[in-house]
Amino acid sequence: MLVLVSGCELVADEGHQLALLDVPESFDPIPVPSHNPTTRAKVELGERLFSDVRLSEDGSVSCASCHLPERAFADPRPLSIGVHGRTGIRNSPTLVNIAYQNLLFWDGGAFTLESQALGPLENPVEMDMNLGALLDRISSDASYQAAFEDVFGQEVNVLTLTQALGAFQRTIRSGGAPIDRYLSGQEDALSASARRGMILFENKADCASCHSGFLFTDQTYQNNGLTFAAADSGRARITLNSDDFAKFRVPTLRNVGISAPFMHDGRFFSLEEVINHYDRGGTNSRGQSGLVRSLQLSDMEKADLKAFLLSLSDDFILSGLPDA
Amino acid sequence: MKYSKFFLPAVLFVFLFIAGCDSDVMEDEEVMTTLRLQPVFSGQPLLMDQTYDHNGTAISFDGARIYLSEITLIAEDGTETLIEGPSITVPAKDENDADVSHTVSNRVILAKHDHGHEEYDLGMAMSGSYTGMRFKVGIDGQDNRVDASQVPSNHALAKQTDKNNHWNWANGYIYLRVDGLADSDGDGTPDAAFETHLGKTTFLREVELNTAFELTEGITNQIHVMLDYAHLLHMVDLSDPLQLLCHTGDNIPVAQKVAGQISGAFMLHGLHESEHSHHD
Repeated sequence: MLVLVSGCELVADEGHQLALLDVPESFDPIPVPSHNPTTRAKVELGERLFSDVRLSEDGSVSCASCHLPERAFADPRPLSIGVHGRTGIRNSPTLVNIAYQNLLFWDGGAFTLESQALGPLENPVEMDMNLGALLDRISSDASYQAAFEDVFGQEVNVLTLTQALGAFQRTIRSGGAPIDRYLSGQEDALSASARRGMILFENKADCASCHSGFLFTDQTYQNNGLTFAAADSGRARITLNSDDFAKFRVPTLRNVGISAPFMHDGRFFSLEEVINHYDRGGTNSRGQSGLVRSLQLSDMEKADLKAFLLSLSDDFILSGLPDA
Repeated sequence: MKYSKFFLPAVLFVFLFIAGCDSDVMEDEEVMTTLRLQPVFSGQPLLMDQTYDHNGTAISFDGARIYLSEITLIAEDGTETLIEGPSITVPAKDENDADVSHTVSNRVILAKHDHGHEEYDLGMAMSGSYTGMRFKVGIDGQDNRVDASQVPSNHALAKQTDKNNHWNWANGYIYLRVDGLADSDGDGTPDAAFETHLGKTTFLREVELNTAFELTEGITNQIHVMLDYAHLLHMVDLSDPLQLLCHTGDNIPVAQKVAGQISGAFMLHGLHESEHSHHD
């Protein structure tokens, strides 16, 4: 599926590595692992799997149920809801430009796009699938059988399933936001308010200390001073290091205009709430980062900062393959 | 002329016969070796459909699996032999979380006691006298940082499709997992689920079993090790709801209790001639 097509050409030959997963010049090339080259047929298969509710135990939930294409592949609900109405403990983050993410999940608990796919598939509060049952279910569909044989020359198994899903998710990308046009020389791409907000972002508000680079994240893990829930220890769950308690991945700010709610548990529904949180200097919670401190922003500065944040949202998001 | 025709073969035969009797030469022979890892509960066979008394609490099992790696045989002369397994090269992350390609070459065993699997190939080892063996319970270092989804399905590190052997959400293998039911209301019937899943480098444990054995030519040598699950769980109070569920990071106290019991849960029972089929 192509949500909207950019002006760039996507070169894709059947059965061959895509010569180009087009991104703006200011972006790094999309990293593609050598063991899972991106091909047209594989991306198509992965996209079909991504949207197939049969990948969940009760047939009610697909990957796309919590990663909505029209919401920058994020979830508008604070906490994602899985099979049988079970509620998780985190908000599903955007998948746009996910190929650049070094580690996956809010706590960096998954190494690769391929292995990450198994997390929600097996999680009892998400898709709750037994892998053996899932492979049986997929292989009983003749069209899937043919597609896996065509793409991989073998039947569906853990390796081929995760490679197909990974290949599709690597194509979910963007880079056509007003900020991109502004940085490429189109000065009127940002309003005066957004330009003032950009200066605040980099200086007084100091957002850029963590939200840096073309993805507006340094991919670190920070405790940003939220009141915490004991049930979710964040990065500490992975490292078993108490210093990592309540630290979560610094999320990309691209597409914040369409990917509310915010924070790992979706507690803030608006950018105003987010800005007010940082303006207050967090809550002085246990382990809060020293980078989160009172900002003393005026109402106008808050409005300017919001205008800048909205300029990070794309006019279009690419996923899958271009229309023929 | 008649005798000289047989002279050279005769000399060779005598030489080979004498060499064959030399004990040093015998110890250089490679012999087939297997590991039998027999699961027991307080000395009784561990069965999935049976109720056991665990410190006064009735419990039953529906899952019992454990990873062994870096299996090393210690010879009488101090020589150590690391058992190698089928070599695989797979994507992984290094300690800085950079993408790397990593080769796993040591023998890794995922013992599926809930499937009744007990005996595993160790391949060829030198015959002779040994003072013991050593192995790790769990997966160490870079081997624990491979992308499990990309491991060939016939390898012990491959993602299992029946019971999870790898934390998709926490970058690493589940070193041991014991699942079952525990009596929660004192009526003698196990009814509350317990899950004891141990992983993470912090809880990796090395076990050394210092019991002498001899690997003998002409047979498949089975090193018989017993694993007592009652000992593994001894410090865990399964009548306490707070100790029923442990996935390591979410219940460190229970993880510590189990890890502390690992080395004492194994016993090298002896060496036998193998008669069983082997599992991978």
